[in-house]
Amino acid sequence: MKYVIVGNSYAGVGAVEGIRELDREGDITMISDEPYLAYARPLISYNLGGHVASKNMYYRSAGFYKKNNVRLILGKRVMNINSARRQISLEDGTLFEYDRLLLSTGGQPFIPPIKGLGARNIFSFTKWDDAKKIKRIAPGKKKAVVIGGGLIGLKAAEGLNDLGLGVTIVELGPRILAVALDEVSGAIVNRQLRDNGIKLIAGHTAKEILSDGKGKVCGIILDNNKKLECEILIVAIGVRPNIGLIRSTSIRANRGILVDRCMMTSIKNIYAAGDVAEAHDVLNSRDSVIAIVPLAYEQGRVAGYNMAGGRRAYTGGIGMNSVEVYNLPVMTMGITNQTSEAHEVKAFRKGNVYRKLVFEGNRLVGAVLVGRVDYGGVLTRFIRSRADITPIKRELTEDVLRKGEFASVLSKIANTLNGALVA
Amino acid sequence: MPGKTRKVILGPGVCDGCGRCVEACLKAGAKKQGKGNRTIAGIKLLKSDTGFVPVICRNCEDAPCATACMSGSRHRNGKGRVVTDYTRCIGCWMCIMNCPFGAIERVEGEHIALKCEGCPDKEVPACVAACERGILGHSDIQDLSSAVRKKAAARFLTGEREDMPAK
Repeated sequence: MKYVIVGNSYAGVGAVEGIRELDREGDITMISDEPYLAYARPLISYNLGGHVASKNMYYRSAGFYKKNNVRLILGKRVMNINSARRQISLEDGTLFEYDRLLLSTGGQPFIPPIKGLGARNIFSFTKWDDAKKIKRIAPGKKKAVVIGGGLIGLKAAEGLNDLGLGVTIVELGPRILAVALDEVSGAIVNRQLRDNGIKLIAGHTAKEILSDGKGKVCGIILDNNKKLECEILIVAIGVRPNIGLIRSTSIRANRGILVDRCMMTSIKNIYAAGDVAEAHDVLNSRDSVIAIVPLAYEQGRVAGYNMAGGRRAYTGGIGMNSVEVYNLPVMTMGITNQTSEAHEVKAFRKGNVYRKLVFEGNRLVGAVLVGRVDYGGVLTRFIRSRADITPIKRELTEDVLRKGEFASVLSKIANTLNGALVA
Repeated sequence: MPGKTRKVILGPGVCDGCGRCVEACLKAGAKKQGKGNRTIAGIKLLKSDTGFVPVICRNCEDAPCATACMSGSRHRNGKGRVVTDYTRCIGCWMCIMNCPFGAIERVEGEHIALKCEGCPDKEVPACVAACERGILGHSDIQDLSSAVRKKAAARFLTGEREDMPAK
């Protein structure tokens, strides 16, 4: 059996491990347009800020590819898929045949048309090379602006701030991490950023980028005509599934590549996983692209297992994220901004500690934890399993949230169930 | 059975919170491999209205903590045990967000997400050896599913229901 995996990040690595659960012999070829062994992509901001050494950036040990007998082709772009002949071709014309193909090409930054984008020292922030380029030109620079206050923008701002630059984030939405955080947690995080030197301008965006006589960026003009100076500009408006490769095929896609529960696309023998795939979303009647590490790995693992002839279903994901913002831990899972009358909220806040649960009938559908995040996984499990938690809901009162009993109630529940929701 | 893959399991009965397991874990010093030198127990006892609940890594077969780990520091080793390379843990808490047992602790200052590593060099895990009430046990993973089934059958025959999963 010949396997070809396009992409060498979390989903691709998951697929290798899934394939090797069943097939020790098959021929695996992995192709990536990046020049690195699989690395911890979300850690590029830590690498930029000097908190993680380059040698510690790798997601798997150096022996991973050899141990799993993977032929790794780095720094080469796949240009075309010929599904009738079961071949893919690289930019240099090299052809590879496959019996099973996985598309785990991830996402690519979305850069909106802004006047002046051609200036130098403007970067996106999704690849290790982005961080390396920024680090190279950062010495001596004093001010940076980040357009976009999502997770990528936030992380880029932290990295730049750690390098000693004054950083301003410009976010069109009402707060930082506007989708994941609610108003209360957003305010806590905003203050945490401000206290640590990162400025946030919410409710605005850039309408023009300014450059100096040498073509280097020197500032931006906001939609309210206010001017901000900067020598480095990061554009982190958003990331889109990297689906350019399927144009020559009949593979169906919306925002991302459509897959069934086995992670197979509309063409037999071609699978997709990770940030490029539009997969089962347990909180949504429609499939969606949820671009986060745990789901990328899970989807890749399921895809690999099925590519090797197994039969395993992807159980579906939820949007969730955990970040630490200058020693303040923040977790968001599922629906964090209640949208309908059917959503019932229980919440508690004191200082930097915030706990919020969002219920829909007898099910937990979302949670926010700030300041104290222990036992967050118990909540995640309730949300992902879609379990009826009537008796638990009764115990999780606002009084319990207020007192320190939150942890022991959750733990008691987890251990009473003794893995019933786990296995 | 050093080298064997096993998991610590909770037996029936009520933990009275004597704390010997925590003491034994600290004495075993297994948690010193963090970035700092603080020794933190891999097991904790939480008080509930019916007694105490030992909280410890169950070495889940489909370990959500390893799946969620961004840095790759938490992974399953060749012996089937979910272990952690604490020098590479960066404290993002993705594992805490995914552990269904709440068995991972956020060590704030050191930015590591700490859990029980299973006493790989000991015949019997230190906490299990110290548990006088027999609440903590350990089992080879391969033997576990049959043991669980036998136990469930015994429970059924004796009509005991107290530690059945909540409906």
